[in-house]
Amino acid sequence: MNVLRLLEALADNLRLVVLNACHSEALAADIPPRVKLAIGMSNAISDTSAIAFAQSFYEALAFGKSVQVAVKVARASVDEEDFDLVRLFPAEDPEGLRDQPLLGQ
Amino acid sequence: MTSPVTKPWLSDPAVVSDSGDWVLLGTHFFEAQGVRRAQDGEVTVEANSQDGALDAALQAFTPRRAGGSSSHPFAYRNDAHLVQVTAVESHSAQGRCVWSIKLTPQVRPQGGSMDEMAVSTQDGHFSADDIARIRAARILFESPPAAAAKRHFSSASMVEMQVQKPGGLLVVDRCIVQDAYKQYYPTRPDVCAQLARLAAIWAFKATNTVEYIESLVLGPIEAGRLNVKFRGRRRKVYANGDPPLIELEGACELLLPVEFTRPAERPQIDESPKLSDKPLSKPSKLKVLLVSASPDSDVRLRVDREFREIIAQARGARLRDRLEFVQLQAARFGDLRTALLEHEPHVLHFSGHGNADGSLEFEDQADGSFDQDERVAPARGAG
Repeated sequence: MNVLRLLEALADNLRLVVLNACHSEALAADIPPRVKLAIGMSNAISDTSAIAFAQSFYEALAFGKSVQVAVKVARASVDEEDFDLVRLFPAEDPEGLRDQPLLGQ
Repeated sequence: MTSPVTKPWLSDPAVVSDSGDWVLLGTHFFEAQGVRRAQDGEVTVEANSQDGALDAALQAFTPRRAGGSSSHPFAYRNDAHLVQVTAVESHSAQGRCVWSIKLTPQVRPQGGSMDEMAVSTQDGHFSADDIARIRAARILFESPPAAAAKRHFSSASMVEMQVQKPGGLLVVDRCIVQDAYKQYYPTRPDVCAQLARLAAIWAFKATNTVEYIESLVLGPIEAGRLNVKFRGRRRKVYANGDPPLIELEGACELLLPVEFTRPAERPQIDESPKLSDKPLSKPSKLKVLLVSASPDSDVRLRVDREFREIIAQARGARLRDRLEFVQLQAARFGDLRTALLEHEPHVLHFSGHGNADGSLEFEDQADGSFDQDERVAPARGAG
């Protein structure tokens, strides 16, 4: 897919790709290790949930939280029925990339 | 332009043992779509029009109606000839211009007395094969001896005369491979090895150094030196006995102008750590590229709101000064590429349509993965 090739080519600075779109889980799963971390939505997510997710996710990052924590915070902010749609990749994370804050103290 | 210097860190792992579809004709290199050789020896080269400069160059090969046709160097794969261009035609196919060039290789007269000459000096006897071996090394990796040696008519200069072959089709007064790299690496590092290879093959044939090139391998480049391996057969002179073989292996010093060695810089040998190599906890700023794409105006409004909310919410956060948002709306695929190149974001955030097959929709649907997908994608909120 062109998007994947583009991300791979320009992966130098990119650390995280967030796909806030329906059915983006499969694409997000393919992004690591091209880009270290990716977030996708496993199904069709409602607009209110998508907005709430984005808002709270970046707020948590801006408070210096790790991607993992920010995803948890964001999951807690979306509509009840949508909370488990947010998926963070890679699923296996031996390097502990998910636990590092994107924005340091 | 600064003076040429070798950069010790110039490295390239590529190894090229074949020139692919590249062709040398006259002084031009181009990629052929096909090269056919007819029974009568006529060669037909087909090439797609790539740019105006190539078109003009190929057009210029058109044989003149009056006056004799001139001869041009032609090299392809492991062989090279002097050729006459007998026809240059072009036609259009699917909106592209395709060139067809017909060539007749010239039969070169078998070596006269001046062609192959042994040299006897007080330093010893150099057979024609010895001279050919020195010339082969010169073509591939040896620089000519320093000018000081040419000051008087020394034994060295007599050998050098024979090595260079002045008055021939090509004077080997410099390293051909090194010269090609100097010329083509700055603009086409990706195919420079193929072009240098063809230039060397033309030089071998034009100087009658060998008759058959069995193999010529260029690469990898290590610390500014190009590894070269060559194996070729000289023309058979005596009916009995095998034609002499020339086998060489060496490294060609690549003297590239300093500013042109930059593109060849590889991340793994770049000593300054890149951002991604730094500890993830220490970026001075985190740049987030917010991208939206949706042909649907309702969705567009909702995405606008999403971006506004993201930015407003982050404004209250402790590290807000170090979070930077760049917005790209109604993105076509190409816009995404440009924005990634321009802003070098740390985070890419895409809001828009995703299809059930896992693809994303751009304004121009140019992701390339859903050509046949004509259906209207469900709005993000459809689920």
